[in-house]
Amino acid sequence: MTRTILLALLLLLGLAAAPFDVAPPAFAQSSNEATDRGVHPNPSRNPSATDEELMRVLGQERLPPDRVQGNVYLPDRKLGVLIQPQGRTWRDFRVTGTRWIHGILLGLAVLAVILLAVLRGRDRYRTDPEGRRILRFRAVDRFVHWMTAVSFILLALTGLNFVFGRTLLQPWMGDGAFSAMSLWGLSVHNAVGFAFLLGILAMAVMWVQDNLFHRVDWVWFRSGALFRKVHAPAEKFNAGQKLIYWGAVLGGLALGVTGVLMMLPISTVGVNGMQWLQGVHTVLAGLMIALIIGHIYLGTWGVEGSFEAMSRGDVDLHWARTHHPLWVEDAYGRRRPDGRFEPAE
Amino acid sequence: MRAFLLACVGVLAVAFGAYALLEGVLARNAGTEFAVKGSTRVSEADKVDPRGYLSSVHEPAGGVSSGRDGGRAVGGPAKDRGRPAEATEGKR
Repeated sequence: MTRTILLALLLLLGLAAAPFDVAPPAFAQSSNEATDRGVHPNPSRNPSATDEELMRVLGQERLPPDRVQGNVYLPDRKLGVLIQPQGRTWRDFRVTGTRWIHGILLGLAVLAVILLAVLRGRDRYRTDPEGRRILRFRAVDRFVHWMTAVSFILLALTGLNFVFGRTLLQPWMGDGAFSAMSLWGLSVHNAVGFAFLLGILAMAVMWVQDNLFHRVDWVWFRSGALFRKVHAPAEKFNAGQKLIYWGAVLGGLALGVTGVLMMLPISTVGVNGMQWLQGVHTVLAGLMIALIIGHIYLGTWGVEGSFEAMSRGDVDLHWARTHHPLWVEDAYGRRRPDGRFEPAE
Repeated sequence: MRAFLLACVGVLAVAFGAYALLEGVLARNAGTEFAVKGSTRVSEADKVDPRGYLSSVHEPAGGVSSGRDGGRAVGGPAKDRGRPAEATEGKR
């Protein structure tokens, strides 16, 4: 069937190509007739070959380096592109390159987590002797965080299926099951992407104030707090968390924009633009997945007590004073001279 | 974890809304638009083949008839190809 369609297209191109140096075939349209029918050949793109030459070139296994072009009588000019050399580059990237990129990024993320676990260990804390807890994230903050997180995990799983599915899943799932799953995965990916984009936009607006970099963040970096169990002064978010925030917001917005544009195939950026969009989208997605793997580790096992901030909303007072002393003082007031901590309100 | 459960509901709500929009209304409108465009595109003036076939739908190997073949059978058995349609009636 594909061969038949290709033959038909070749035939179309061959029939419609207006030769320079040979008499036109009996069925060829004159330029006036073509104009009357709404076909306006581009003067700067005149046919570069005769019918015979065009058909001979298209039949070759290796195409010549020069561009070969003719006329096609199709209202949609994009359909007149029979062979797009960039398409082969993109196909190689799509089939092979993305697997390597995602494989390396995922491997590096897992390696980094293992190194952190070995070098830094679990960051434990002593609970406040009086059991006091303070609010760290409001319900709306947690809602936005989990909406973004749940949608991102769904997007990552369905997206990774596009990259590794044919290699890892199709052989043991079978063609039919894998095809059905991938088709549904694409619909889920497209639909859930909007929830992710909404979450990212909400995060960008709600948390930007707390994630602006200040001088104290430089102190946090220099202390090596990411790799050692030292507790440098930090605001509501430490410098590492701020990096994750900006990575998630900027990366998420870029993923959203490229993703939405890819849902409008060809109509906005053309064929070559679509290939670039897909390339940028998949590389960014790999970087985001690696970033979020680190975030998940540090937010759960790596730093004890931090998961409660997003599961319950409040955190132990001693934990807060250990990890985010500047935030505690700023939000809840300084300690009294007698050493007791009392919230400002 | 109430926020988590609510967030799951939120994701489902947004996803179903987007799905209905993308795969439902927009897709149907896009499909209708494409069909209208297509019907305009397939016109008498599009015949570039002197025999009267629509080149975009004519398949020389047989099996596909453009419907604009001037009463000739395009598809069907090779021996019937090119013969008037009435001569091949009841043979397919």
